[in-house]
Amino acid sequence: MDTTSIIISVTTIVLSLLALGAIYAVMYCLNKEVDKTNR
Amino acid sequence: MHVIPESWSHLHILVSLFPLVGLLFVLGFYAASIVTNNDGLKRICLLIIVGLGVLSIPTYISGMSSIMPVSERAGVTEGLINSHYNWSLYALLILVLAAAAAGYEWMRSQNTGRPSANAIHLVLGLSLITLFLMSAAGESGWEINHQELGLSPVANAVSGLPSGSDIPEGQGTPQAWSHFHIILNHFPSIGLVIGLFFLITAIVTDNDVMKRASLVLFTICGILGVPTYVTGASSMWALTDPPMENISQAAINAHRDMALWTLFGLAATGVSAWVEIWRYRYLNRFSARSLYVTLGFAIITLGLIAETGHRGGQINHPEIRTEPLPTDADAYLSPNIELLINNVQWFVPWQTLHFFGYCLIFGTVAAVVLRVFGIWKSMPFSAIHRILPLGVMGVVMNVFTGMLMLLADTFRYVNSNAFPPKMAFIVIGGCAVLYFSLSEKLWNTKAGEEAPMQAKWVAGITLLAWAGVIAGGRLIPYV
Repeated sequence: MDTTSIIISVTTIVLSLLALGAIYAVMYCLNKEVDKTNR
Repeated sequence: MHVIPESWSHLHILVSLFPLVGLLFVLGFYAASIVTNNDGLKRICLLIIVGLGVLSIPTYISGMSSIMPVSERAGVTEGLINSHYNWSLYALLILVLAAAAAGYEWMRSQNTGRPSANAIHLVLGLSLITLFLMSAAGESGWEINHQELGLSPVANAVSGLPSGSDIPEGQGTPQAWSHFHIILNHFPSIGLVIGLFFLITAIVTDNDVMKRASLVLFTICGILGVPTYVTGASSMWALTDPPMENISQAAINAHRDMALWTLFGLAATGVSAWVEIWRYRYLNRFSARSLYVTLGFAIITLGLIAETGHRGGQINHPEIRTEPLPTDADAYLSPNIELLINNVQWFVPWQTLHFFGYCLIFGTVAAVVLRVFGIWKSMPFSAIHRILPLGVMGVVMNVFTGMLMLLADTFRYVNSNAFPPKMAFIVIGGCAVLYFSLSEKLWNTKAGEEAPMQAKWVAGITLLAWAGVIAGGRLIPYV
């Protein structure tokens, strides 16, 4: 793999992990209070 | 910020939009008050219609005082000015009648707190006539100052293409996009002003219907931010390729930079508003803290949009310029983001996140649609409602990443035949999500019950719209 391929791969993996973390964090925060209700 | 008008023409441009776009939004609230039979909201709407009627005075005076400076511009004929004057005069007269009827009914209902149905319908009818006449007045006004809208795409208009574009010669960007942008950009700006007024009044009077209607308006403004930004990019190409006299690329870039911040502001306001609409279902109350967060976002975004509008007005309104236009087109953020994102090392990672966003949206839509169509009937709709934020998060991810991808090659994107339907489908799909968040009948669909027929139609349209968004995006490089 050349340098460009390595940079693209690393950036893609890092951004993807950040996105997954953001999705989890947002859903956790939004549902924390709602889960206390009965619906 | 430049919100203080420095000439009659400047004042006319600012104030004349309220009796048109402002009235449209107020009628939205008015309709909500009639449907929910909320007397408090009805009376507030009557009061605002009175306010819009009062605004007809500065609109008329500033319009009359603008005739001289505008008529000095090349191509502005007496016929164009007379047409705008006549439509505006009729519109303002009917608006004054609507305002008088609204003011009378507001005063009459002060003791009982209940406006009469006849008066409410009279004001509604007069307002609708005003809206029709104002649309004609607005259109004839834009024809005065934006004569470029009548131009056809120039045959050799692709001389200055960025690298990677393969649009054949003879296909310049149509001026229809500039026309569309001029109309569309006033909706988020005036919508924010009207929404802020209603939200502050709703918090003060503790009116839940008004709070909800304000949050819906902020969400709609957030959705409209996307086509407004995109049609702005199209307008840039229509005005600069080939270059037009008196159109400065530097002035356009100054406008684009602020438009970018406004897009983020509209997204933050729209999403925070929608989240509170969603949470209300479970908590049965609005959280004061969340409402203040939305209010804060809306106020900041209003500041950004005011500056964006001012910079946009500088592009093609020489009669309101008080300072020289910028000259260095490269001294702005947008051209530098274009250079950066054009590099494959940045484009591919952000495109990956764009696909993540699509998966979130389509997965959420599929789950909602399947329940509404009758599959998973053992689940109440409220259970499916819980996953809506996942889809909205996908939309937010894709607005951000899609905007970056658009900046990589705006000419190619905006001139692709697949791009306009994609943008239209985004607006339709976004508004459909509002339906799933607001429908009382759907929310009350219990386990084992059939969803209402209306919801099935909306579900079908939503599925087709988001499928169209994905298909349109994939077709961009080829059609």
